[in-house]
Amino acid sequence: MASAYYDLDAILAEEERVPTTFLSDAQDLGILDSSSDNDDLSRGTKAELPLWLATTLAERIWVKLELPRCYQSRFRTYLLADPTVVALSERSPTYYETGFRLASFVRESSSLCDSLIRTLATRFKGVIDKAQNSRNEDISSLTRSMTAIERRLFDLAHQGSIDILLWKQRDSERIHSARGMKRKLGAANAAR
Amino acid sequence: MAGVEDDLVGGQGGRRLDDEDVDEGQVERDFQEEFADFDAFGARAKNVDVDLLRRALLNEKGAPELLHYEALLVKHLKEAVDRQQEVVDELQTNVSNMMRSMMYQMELDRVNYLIVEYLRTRLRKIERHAFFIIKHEEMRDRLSEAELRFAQRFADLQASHLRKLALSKMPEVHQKLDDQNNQVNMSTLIFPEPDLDSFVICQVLDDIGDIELEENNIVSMNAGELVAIRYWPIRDFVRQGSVALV
Amino acid sequence: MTSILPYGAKGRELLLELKRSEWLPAYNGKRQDDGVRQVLGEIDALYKRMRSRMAESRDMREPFYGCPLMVYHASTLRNKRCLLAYLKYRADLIGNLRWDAGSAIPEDLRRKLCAEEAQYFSAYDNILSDYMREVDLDLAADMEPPKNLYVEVRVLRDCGEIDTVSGPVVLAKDTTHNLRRSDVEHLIRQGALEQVTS
Repeated sequence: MASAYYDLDAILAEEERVPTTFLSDAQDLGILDSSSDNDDLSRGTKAELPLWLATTLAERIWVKLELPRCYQSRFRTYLLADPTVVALSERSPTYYETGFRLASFVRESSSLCDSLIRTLATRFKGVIDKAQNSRNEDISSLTRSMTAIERRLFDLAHQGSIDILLWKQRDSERIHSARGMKRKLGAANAAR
Repeated sequence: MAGVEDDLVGGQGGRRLDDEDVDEGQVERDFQEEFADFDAFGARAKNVDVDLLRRALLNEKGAPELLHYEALLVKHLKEAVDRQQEVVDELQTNVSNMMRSMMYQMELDRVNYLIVEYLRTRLRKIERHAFFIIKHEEMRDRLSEAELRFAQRFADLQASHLRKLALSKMPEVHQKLDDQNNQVNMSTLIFPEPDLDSFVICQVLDDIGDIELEENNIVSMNAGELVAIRYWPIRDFVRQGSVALV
Repeated sequence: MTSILPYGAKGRELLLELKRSEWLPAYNGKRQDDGVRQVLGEIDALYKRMRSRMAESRDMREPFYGCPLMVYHASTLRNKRCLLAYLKYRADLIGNLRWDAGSAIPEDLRRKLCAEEAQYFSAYDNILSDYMREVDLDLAADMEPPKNLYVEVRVLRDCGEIDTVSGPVVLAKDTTHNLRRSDVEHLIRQGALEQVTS
């Protein structure tokens, strides 16, 4: 999204370290290998690179990526086990966005996406249930019960490619979601 | 003690407002009626204009993009406020009108606040997307003349500021603000654009029926419903007034 | 496995400094080894490196040559982004200051700005003032909606008799009244009265 260019949180979130393996030799990049004195980097070298660089190189398949710890399955299981606990990493404004972005570069992408979506949906449902239970059924109560964090959940749904497209008050099928999951960034821009 | 007081209060004669139980609602209704009486243009009753501006303000606050400028509304209300202010000032010269003039002043302040808040909301939105607005004719058309001048000058100021402190000191190939040809990272586009995918909360005013969110995903939106939805499917409906953002 | 990427660190530090500050930290670019200058220096160094490697006319589709070039290029764009975000964030807050504080920069904040930023403030002030003159309204006034003249209150604890514009009123516990806000605002603030929202 364009206006994320200047957003401090979005920029800093891309500093997240990602375990990376170089798939070929590379000139000059020996500096990334602390165990070697070589000017050049040899194939197979592992390095922890910031997300902004790791994904750029992975797009050209010059490196292979692994998931940082907070996205590995053990950790995700922990998130799902107790939906009321919000993990520290989740508080990062781009935890989900980063997760979805990484997913396209790693092998376990569909299970990662699944569990991110399920975690988000659980959080989301809690938010909606709370809003439903508020006594007054007028607009001001809705917006009042939609606190900043809940509005952010809507935004996360967008950033995280969750297809929660519509929610209606007093509708039996409250959450309309799209079938399947899509990469929102590309699709949305193409559609417009 | 006849005079201004009797002319203004419709039908009641000089009702004094320093009684114990002030019916604020009645005073407000009296005021709105009198407000309408002072509309020299006779276009619409002024209390309707106030509602319309309030609606326009809420839409403007809720929508991710800048909406069209309500030139007539602002013009009418500003003029009405100025005229009515004169009336209130006149009232205040008479001590026995203190109470009523205070209540009228309160109403005037409220309308004035609406106008100021509307213009202010728009101005801050213009600042957020200044480059984008200047570059697209469709967006420029939504601005008042004064806003357009502001937008142009602000965009220039931002550009020259970044140029002075950073861009001019970079290699020439990187001196442009628009890095669109440099698609290395996903976020190299640096003219912030409104995000039409943002969620908004809206009240459906007219029956809209079915709208297609995406392929084979159709939802209906009916009058009276409160809905949280992405902005882009309802963009035109907001413009038409079938949907109001809250 | 740990390695230090030599690029982009200074940009990151500039932004972290912003996040740590309450309003703005002092402009980090006046002196030779300050953050802004270091980021610009790194952009320059990366550019020179890239130019000299590209002059060797190797096939950049080969990872051995292409990968490092991409690292230089991505790092350059990263630095650019950090720097512009740093400057724009500051400029935005400086603009907000004009709304909050009027046409003059408060003394204690002025020293946090560089000369160009002080100029930015003045220029922004001009643009804004011209607009306000054109629409004939002071947009920096009336930041809050005017409050109702009258409020409905419930008495939480005995206040005895108070003077109001309509005469003395006894505020006994558990009673409700419709009174002038100016007469009872202090009691609401003290917690003796509770405003009833309808």
